[in-house]
Amino acid sequence: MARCRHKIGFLSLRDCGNPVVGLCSQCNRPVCDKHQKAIEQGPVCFECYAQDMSEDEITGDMARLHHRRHYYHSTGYYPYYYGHSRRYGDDDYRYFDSDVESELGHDEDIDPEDFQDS
Amino acid sequence: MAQQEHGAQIQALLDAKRMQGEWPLTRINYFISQLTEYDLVIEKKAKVYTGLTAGSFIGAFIFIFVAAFLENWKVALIIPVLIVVGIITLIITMKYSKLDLRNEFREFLAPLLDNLKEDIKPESDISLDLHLTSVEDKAFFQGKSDKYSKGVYHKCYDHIYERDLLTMSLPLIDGNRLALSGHEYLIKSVKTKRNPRGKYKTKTKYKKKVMFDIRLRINPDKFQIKKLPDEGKGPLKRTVSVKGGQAGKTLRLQFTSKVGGGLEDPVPDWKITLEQIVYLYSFLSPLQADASS
Repeated sequence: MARCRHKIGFLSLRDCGNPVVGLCSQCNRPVCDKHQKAIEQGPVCFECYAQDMSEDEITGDMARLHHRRHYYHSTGYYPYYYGHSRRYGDDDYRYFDSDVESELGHDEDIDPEDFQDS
Repeated sequence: MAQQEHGAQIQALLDAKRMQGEWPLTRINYFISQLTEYDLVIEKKAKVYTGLTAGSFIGAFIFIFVAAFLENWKVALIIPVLIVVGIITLIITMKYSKLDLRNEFREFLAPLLDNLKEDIKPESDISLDLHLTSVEDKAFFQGKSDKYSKGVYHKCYDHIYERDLLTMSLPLIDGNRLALSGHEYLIKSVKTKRNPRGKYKTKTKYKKKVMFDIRLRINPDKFQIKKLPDEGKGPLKRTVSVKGGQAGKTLRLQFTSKVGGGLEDPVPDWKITLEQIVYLYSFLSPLQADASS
């Protein structure tokens, strides 16, 4: 079963891991019910949603994302990522285990079609 | 039964005016939510009674002129009534002010823990000691300065208060352990001047700073310290040091947060503290990655 690829944590990151309910309409990231936001164009993940919002407009988990991104930039910290997702080409984290990159091939990428059928 | 137990714990915290113990995050969040509810009710009541007190005394003052203008003794009867109401509401206001809690638990601790909640080791206990009352208390009074003068103020005194505001230790999911402590230091300056009409005016100003000490005990199986940090770099004066111990190395960051701007009861900014914790993490590198490179 596909798992949510929303990155949780603040000091070190990992995948949320909850069962997926859909794909982000902007970045195709598989997300669970908790980490998606329904907008007119379809569901979006928190990271895409929070990207264009100011700090005053968002609360809870999304506000935490905002702070996370802000502090990574202000301190020059690149957090360690214990997850398995590399499909989005993020450059804002480091893999904790360098083997993870080699273990992950294109098979790890999830085809959006898989979710449309379920 | 559990609710009764929780209620008793909340009451114990309120009686001690201190959150002191070892609890899991869920329990601490429960305490914070209950104490917030309590504190907001108290603050609201204190505000209402402050308004009533002010209204009663202002009303009494106005009715002196109204009664004199109308030359009606029946109208004048309302003046002592308003004064009595004013005194009673003043006593109630003072009672609520005493019950009022300091806002650190909801404006500093709560957002800090909310941001770190996914990094805290699940089901583990957090060691916490946080004062819920103001530092401006006899118990924390350190001393009074000698009399001095400053500008038009001919008589000035500084009252100094000091205490450990917060001590907290969190086990993290990556095996590190984060300890945070804050030492609070308050200077209450009471300045008196004489205006041209001969009246004495007194002004009170507050200066507060909290000296934070963040310690990160490194999990030696996963991390190492990649470089020694620069000291005192950036706008915030901070010092970073490394200490070795049997259980692993400890990264330590000390910084001072000046808060207040003259306010009586200012709360330190949790965002600055969180940023310093993230900054400490920037000096870590993973052992496995280093071994493979």
